[in-house]
Amino acid sequence: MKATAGSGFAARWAPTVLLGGILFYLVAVPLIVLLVSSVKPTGLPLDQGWTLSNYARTYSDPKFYELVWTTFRFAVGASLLALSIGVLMAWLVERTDLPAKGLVRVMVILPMATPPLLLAIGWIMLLSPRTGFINDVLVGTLGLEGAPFDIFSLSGMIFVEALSLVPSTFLILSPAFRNMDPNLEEAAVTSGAGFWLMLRRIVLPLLLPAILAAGAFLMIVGFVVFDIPGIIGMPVGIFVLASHIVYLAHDAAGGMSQYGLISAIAVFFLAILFLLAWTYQRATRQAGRFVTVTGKNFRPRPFQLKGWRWPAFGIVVVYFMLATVAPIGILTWASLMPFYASPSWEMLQNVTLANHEAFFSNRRAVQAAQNSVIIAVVASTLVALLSVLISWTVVRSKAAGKKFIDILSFMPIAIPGVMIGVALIYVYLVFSWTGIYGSVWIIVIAYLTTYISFGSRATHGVMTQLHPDLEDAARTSGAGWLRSMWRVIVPLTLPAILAVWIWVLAHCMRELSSALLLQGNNNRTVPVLLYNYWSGGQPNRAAAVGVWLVVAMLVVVSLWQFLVSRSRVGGAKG
Amino acid sequence: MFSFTRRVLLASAIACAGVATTAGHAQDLDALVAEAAEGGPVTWYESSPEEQIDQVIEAFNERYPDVELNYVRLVGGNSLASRAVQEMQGAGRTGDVLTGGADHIWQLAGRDYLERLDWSELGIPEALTPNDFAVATAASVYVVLWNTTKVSDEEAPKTWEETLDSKWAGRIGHWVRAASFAQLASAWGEDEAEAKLKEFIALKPFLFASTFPLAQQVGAGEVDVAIGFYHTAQPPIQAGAPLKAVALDPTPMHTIYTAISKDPANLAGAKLLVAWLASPEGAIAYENATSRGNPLLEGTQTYELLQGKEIVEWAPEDSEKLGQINERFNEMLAEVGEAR
Amino acid sequence: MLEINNLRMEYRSEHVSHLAVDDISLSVRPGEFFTLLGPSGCGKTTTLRSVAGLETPTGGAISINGEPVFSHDRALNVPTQKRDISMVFQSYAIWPHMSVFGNVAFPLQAAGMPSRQVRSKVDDVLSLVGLADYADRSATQLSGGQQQRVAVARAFVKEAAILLLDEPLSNLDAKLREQMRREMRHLQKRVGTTSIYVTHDQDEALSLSDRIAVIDGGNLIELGTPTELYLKPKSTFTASFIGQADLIECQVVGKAADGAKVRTPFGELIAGVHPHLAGSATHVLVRPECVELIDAATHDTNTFDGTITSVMFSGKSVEYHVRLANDFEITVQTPPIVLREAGASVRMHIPPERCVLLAGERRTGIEPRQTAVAA
Repeated sequence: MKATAGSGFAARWAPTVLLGGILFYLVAVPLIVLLVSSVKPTGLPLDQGWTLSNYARTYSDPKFYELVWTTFRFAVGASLLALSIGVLMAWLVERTDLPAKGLVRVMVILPMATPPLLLAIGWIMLLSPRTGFINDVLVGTLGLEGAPFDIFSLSGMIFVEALSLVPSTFLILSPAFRNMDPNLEEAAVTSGAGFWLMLRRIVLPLLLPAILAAGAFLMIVGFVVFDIPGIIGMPVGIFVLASHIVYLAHDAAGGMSQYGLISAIAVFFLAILFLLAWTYQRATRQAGRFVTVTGKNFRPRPFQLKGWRWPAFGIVVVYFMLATVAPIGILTWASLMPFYASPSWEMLQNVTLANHEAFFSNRRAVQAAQNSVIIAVVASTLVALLSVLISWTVVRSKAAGKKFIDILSFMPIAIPGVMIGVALIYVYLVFSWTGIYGSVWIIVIAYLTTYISFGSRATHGVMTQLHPDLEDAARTSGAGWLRSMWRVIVPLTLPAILAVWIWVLAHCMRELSSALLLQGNNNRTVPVLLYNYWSGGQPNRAAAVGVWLVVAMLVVVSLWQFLVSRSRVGGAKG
Repeated sequence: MFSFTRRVLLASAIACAGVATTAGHAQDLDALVAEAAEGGPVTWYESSPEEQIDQVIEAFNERYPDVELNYVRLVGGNSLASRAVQEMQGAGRTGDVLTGGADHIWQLAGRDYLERLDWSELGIPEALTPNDFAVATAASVYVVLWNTTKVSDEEAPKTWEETLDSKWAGRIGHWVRAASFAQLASAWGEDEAEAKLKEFIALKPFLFASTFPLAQQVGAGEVDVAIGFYHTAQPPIQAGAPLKAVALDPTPMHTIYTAISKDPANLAGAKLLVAWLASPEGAIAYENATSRGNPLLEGTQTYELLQGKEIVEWAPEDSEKLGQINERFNEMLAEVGEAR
Repeated sequence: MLEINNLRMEYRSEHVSHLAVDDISLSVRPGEFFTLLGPSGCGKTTTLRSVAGLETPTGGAISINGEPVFSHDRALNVPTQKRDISMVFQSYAIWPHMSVFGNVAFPLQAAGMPSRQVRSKVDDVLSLVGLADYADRSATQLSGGQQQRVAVARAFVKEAAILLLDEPLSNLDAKLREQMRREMRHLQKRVGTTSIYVTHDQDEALSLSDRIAVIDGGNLIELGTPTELYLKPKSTFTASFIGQADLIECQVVGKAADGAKVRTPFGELIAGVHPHLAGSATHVLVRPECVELIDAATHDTNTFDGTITSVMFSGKSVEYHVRLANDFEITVQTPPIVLREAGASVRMHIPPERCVLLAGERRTGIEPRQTAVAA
């Protein structure tokens, strides 16, 4: 027998060194640029001089703490709402006899395809107090004094952000729900517990690691995200940290983006991230106990919703209406309008396909679509692969320094997209001979960095639940590391891997900030086109692009569901 | 000679002189054209949407078919300046031609990243060239917009007093930046401008991250009136939205400058582009595409719009002062949320 | 105590339907340890889960303690938590996020018992199952046997009218299984709870149960005490499923004082059990351990000569295959007192009172042939 992965030092360090190297390149480089930037007077790492003034200015300003407080309320609100909806959806889909589950899965995940920018615009068009369509209709039909809803409020921001976060929550949670031994729930019922007691005392605590992982993810996103709080909050002067970062990047006086101040704020994000990671570690210290997928072949028995089957389906439909149909509906309307206008009979005569024609006849559309597809497919595949490797190393292996790998893979989420962009510009200007600068590959690398945190969080959950016996059995059957990975770990985690893949794909298709910053002559993506229309005063054309993005995603998500359901049927028969 | 601070009143003479000078130097430009055609593509960094700049490039190539023009869009002047600095630091070269606001161009000049040229050799009128590194090629002009279905033309504000009238409380919109009032301070003085801003804030205006959606929202009726940019109101007006715009007196604005980066890939091509942008033909092509015209060149709509109006703007040299006022005014405007 | 009438459970998916329970009726007496025994997939677990309310049958009725909890015709279905039952799962279903105490206390807390009472009650039950010192241990730090005890304790503590056990011992190793079996029997007798026990292990069923219901293909095949089912089964299925059995095809040819005279491939013998079957009898059941190897002809009937063809020594017994007349082979099991070798001639006696006539399906062909079924 050759000395393979089983033996000592090399085996303990090989994964760490390999993954550590990749992650160092992807994560640590931007991180170092960020930290250096934070102690440079201009915020540009290659400029002269050192200073702490960025920190002093940021943290001595009482306004900063007001922003933190607003952001905190926003992030907590959006996370809690998204978690509640996400938990409910994951439970309904994975643990009950809800009808038409394939369709439901598509309905829950599809909102991911809507660029948050458009989601926010859509909801403004629906719920603005002056011209919001829903408000108008309600005022008209119920004879109300004033508009019943005001989207321009903290709760409005939370509502829309939560809608956009539900798919991610669902995707993080559903493998955990799927893999929980149903006997644990049944034991509660036979012990005399009613539904709510079972939910509170058994189901939720059991899923705590997964829920906390999702919660930590959502909190960070809530702190960092710009689109929705920026577009909805700003008109009424509700600012969050991210809108301040955008201000520093684009509008600050002095003629230069204030990268130094941005970096100093990003350090605060990193602190929150560490705090959350630490809380998570503590709360799930005994995660090993939660191994619930043993090799045992159990058929999860769906919870009988009985009379609640269709009402529950109705809840999903309501969510789908709110998260996709209503905003995309109003955007479709907008895409058929020559200018911004609320739906009305009078405006119906102005319906035009000009915006759609403009998109399809745009000579950059084909190239942008190609770029988007290449970037999305390559980045999502790489993220999925890397996530599995990271999760395996962190959760399963005995590799040295795996905590380090874990934290490193979680950190990019707290690094603002602009700073990743700034770092990559430097790196590939220096390595300009690679030809990566200004090409689609620099965007692929940016996305890989950005999304590795979500990917590894999602695969962690399912890897934690996978009983080590399964892998050991493969190894004792004579399979090497690679084979046992490929034949046992990958197939068993396949639903989770596919979920990660889809998630990253959808986000790459819609992601904007780093693509804008890294723009060169021929690496434009579809969202950049969308943004060009939007920022060029043609939101109706932007809406048209958004509608087609959602259509493209609908195709991808449906295809994915088709594959998943096929693999399930096959598995059941085999 | 070039200072808007001293309330420059537009004199058509300047524009006429400009046209005359351009013609006079046509000979020199011909030599440049041959050199530019040999020099490879000219890279132009700007912040307008590509669809708009495509039209500009088309017009440019009609005049100079052999000079290749590459456009890279960098959203916002700050990111343009930052990217240029990064590229100069990392690769020693950035876009050949850079178009942006005063603070961006002056920032790059301060780092000695710009070519210093005798613009008159290119036939660019003196009125457009405050110094040897920047040429004024366009401007963003503040106007008052109103929704014609919600506000009649008679009722619409035409002076600053009318704009600050309390009847617009909760009906008026503004860019999230108070830059308009900061520019007004150059004419009114800081205290007066601040007092006016306070009056404005008392109206609890709706704030927008960008002035394009602001104009759209006026068209949609979300806000009835707004202080916005002339060029951002043009797309919805052209699409038929019930929207009108008028310049107030005095009119605050931001001049847009174009410069050539140090040691560009195609210096001749860069010069040609700048000269063309500063000519009436280029300025009109640029204005037709972006709705941002050059108020100093007769024949542009912007020139027409500002006829008889006093235009006010801080001199580029005062951009630090402007920056301070901006920051202070922005913070005041941001308080609107708490006032609600 | 528990009444099940015409229970039926049909699973329907889009294209296929699967009949898990066809038609099962049975009634369990108070305090009884009642076992549902059958091969996997026979419907025993579905029946148990229907009693628990974890499945909704598609027909029939169930009542517990005289109170109906399910009736398909009356559209009655009392939810699980309202039924007077408790359950032990095959996987134990110990909640990994709770301590031993937390697990056992849960049913009491769910019933709203004050915490002081809960404490003392849980302590009682834990000492009953021998886990008094483990109360604060995390449930997942226990061994398999201890986890099993926690599961049992959690079920006992509720003091439900009926205790449902779904193959609770199947995950334990053989030694532990036997020990737990004894403990469980002891505990059940002490507490006196009516218990329904599901297993596919006949040893377990025989040693634990007061009565056993043998189930196959979704139907109740036979119901009886362990001795009845083992020594006097009424069906070939029961005979072959429980214990080791030689089922020998035969024909009844007459009557004898102590039974019926039957013809088998290796000669005539007298069968003492179920002689009334007479002509309808198709098989005679002989269990290997009920055959005596003898040296002299001490009996008049049921004595045969043969040759040992193979020997298998398993410690507590020795198993011989003996070839009789007509090359018919029969299995004999004896205690390891006298050891014989292959090739040796032996004489055997099969006591008539251990020869069971059974009515089954006769194979075509004139000569009755052997059907040896190993358990």
